[in-house]
Amino acid sequence: MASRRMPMRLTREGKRFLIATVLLAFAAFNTGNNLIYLVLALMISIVVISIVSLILNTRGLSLDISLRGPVYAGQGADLEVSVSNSKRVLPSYSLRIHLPKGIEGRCTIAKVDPSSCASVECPVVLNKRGVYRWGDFTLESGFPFIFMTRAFRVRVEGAVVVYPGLVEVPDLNAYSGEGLASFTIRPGGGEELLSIREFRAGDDVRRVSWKATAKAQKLMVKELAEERPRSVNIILDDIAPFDGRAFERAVSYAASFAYKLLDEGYYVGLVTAAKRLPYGSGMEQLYKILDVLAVVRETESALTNFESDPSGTSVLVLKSAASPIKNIGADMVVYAS
Amino acid sequence: MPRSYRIMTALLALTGCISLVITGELMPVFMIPGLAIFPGYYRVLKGLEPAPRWVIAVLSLLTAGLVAFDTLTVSGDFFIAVAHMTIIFQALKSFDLREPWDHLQVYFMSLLQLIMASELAISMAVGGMFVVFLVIFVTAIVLSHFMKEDTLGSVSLKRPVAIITLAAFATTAIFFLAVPRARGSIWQRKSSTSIRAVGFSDKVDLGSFGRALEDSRVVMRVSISGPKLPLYWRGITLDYFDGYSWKDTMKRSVRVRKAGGKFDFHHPGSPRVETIQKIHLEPIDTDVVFGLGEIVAVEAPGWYISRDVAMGVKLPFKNDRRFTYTAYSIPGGDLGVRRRYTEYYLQLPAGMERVAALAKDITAGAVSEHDAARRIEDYLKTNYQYSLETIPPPQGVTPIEYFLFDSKTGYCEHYATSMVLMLRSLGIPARIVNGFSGGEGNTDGDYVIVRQRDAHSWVEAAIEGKWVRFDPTPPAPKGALSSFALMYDSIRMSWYRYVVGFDAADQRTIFSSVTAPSLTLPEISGISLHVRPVYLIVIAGLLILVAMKCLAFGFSPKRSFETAAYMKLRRTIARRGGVLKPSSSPREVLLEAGRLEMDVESAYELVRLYEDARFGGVELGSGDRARCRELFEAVVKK
Repeated sequence: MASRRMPMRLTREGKRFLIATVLLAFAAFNTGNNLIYLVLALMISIVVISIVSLILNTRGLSLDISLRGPVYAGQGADLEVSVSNSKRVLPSYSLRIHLPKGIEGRCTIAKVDPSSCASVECPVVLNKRGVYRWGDFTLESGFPFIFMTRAFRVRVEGAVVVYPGLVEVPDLNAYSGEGLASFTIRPGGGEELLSIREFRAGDDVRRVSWKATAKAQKLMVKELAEERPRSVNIILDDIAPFDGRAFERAVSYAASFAYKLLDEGYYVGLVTAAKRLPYGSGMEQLYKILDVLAVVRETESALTNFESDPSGTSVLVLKSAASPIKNIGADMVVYAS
Repeated sequence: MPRSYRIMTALLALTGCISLVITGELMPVFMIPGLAIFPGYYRVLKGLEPAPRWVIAVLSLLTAGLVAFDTLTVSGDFFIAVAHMTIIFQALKSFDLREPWDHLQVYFMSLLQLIMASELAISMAVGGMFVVFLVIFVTAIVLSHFMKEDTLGSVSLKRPVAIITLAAFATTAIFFLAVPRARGSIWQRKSSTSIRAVGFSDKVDLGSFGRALEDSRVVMRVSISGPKLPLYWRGITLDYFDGYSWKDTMKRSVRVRKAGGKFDFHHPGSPRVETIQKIHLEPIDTDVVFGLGEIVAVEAPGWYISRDVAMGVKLPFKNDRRFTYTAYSIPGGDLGVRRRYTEYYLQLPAGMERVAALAKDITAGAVSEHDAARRIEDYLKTNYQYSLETIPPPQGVTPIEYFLFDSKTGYCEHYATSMVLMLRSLGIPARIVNGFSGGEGNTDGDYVIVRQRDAHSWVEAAIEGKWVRFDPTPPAPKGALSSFALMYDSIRMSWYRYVVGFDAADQRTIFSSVTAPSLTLPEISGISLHVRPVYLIVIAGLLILVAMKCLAFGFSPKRSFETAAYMKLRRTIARRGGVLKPSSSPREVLLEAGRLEMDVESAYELVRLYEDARFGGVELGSGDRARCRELFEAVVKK
């Protein structure tokens, strides 16, 4: 972690105090009155104490930061800021941490004891999705007065992936006439009876329904039902024509659909111009999808095939009606614009 | 807004106002609106809503108008009018505290009030208010900082505030001593509290000293070093008497420019042994420089100084503020007579025949001029009564004739004038000298207090080529100060000497004492030490560094009780012959305890408590502390 000291800065009050000190110096010189010299000495001493205290207060400090949980663009996250004070005697008071560009938030640590560390959780908002490199944090203090501040920049290495912001998305059932139940019932090895059909070669003889066979006079077998999660393929429109704002909305929609569907138990896959993620479920799949969506960019042309996958329901998230892939035959189409 | 913050603002506003009030320069009628500060801050402390903005705006405008009215018609002094205004504005502001910036305005206004108070009065009370102001101001701006950062109340500020206040005291003292002293005098406010001096102008009416002699106000405090001289603080001499008043008709003086930091009047052959008088003069509306006997040099601010033919010294300005100068006088030096001016000192007003006859009678048989003068002096001293209660002479009779032949009662002016006239009638040049005589020695500070009531007139007669001093006035009864009053005056003297009167010469003295080649320390057990002060500073610095290091150890985080108990256990084992290295683990400690046949069970429990707290994040309570103690004692006993 590299740090760089910045020059001391006078606050608005400090500028006024300094002007008052200069005027008082003139008054003292003019009158030769020692009591005015005494007040002048007080004012100079306050300026000097400000400078010395600021130097001592900001000496021996180091900064460490970490984020708790996933971060979604434009949504709150908790940034844990830790300041260590390596001074053996003096505590450091009133430290303000200015966050780098792109992070909104305010962070203040009231006191860090000598040879100790103090942490604070700052609610922050990162506005843009993508890989965010931490960069320069500024540690500033004005202690003990209100006339000056001193700061130093601390370069924090490392990065955080900011996922697309999650938004309220339309209910997919509204797009599907038959509804989009999260589970499809298929023949398989379940418990419930699905149907009775004629025996085919390879059927397990233990599933033969003798009662139905007797009635039909031919060999009939019981077909049992098996519940399987429905697969939904989210197709993101990330090809030309470019429309940055609509694209960001489309990315957010795609992320939000993925979040919602995976939460409801669906198998969800993702298709973008550059990448195809196979179906998967659970949190692991969610973060795989979010990782892709965090860094996805609009491109000129597609490297992958946008055609719908017949094995699952396809949800096409389009930037606008002008998209060239609107006719790929998706089950559902959602416009982000 | 936190209560502590509001309290500080209220205290600071009151400190500023009180600083101005105690100067005694303000007019009470203008302070009445300022009393609104009390209900104002009562509301602030109770957390009530501020007054409507329009009300404050209207009242502020009225106050501004009041300042103009005050300046033009009432006080006639813009400075005083502004002082009145600040008190009213402080009261108004107490009803208009909304934002932190409003509080800061109060701080700045209080600072302005303190500065104005410093200009209006330089009493110790203002100094006391400065100390109070410093403490409250520093505390308030530290609180403001935490208020601004929104962390007020989240940490204890007692210790930082105390340390910063002490640092502010120390650095203020250092800067007070170090800031270069100068007096630009670009714009000066005339002091209205200066003592009206009588007897130190070019024309002095006979009888004008009467009121002054009843005034016990201090005129000057003088520290004297060198050979002792009679305490006659020479001021001015007057040559012409018209029967009712004395005048200076010679008006011959020369301007002397500063050389080597002094105005030097030494003439070749005059002795170099001097009586040095450091004089702290109160504001007195005269330009006269007072000093004992013949002043041969003066150390005072200014570009030049005037010295007349009668060796009277005058400043180029009237001293309407407190002022310190050093006068150098020659011990026992009779003033030389310049023959070409003696005729001025033989002038007699008309109608002095009876006075001349009396002089002849008194001096009949005198063997010399000096003997004649001494006889007149004795005659006046023994045959007349000192009294400040004098009766005006009847129509057609001059005051001196009335004093000598009728009332026979008077004070110094009557005695001195009578003697001058009698000497002149005998052909002996004589002049009247106005100044101060005596004073009260204060052993507490080793200085002399001279008051207005010590104002005095005496006689100088030109005898055998020298001006010889005669004082025909019998001693006047004067009350002495109590020991408490003397001690208080000594503190005041120190205040005036070391704070109010601190000047560039003092700075030079401090600087030279610090950088002097060597300093002789007081003798201890017969051993005398000569040390360079610079070394003392270096040693002091080193001591401070060592102290800081010790503090560093002292302030390092304390060991918790379980760690302390564990470390004590290790030390005990080591003392009993156990082999423990700094890297020995708790398990090895237990093994050693077992080997030494100590109570291993108790030791094990103690170590477990230590490990749980130190590495397991378990918080131990007071019960565990007692348990630790018991376990340790059990281990040690076995």
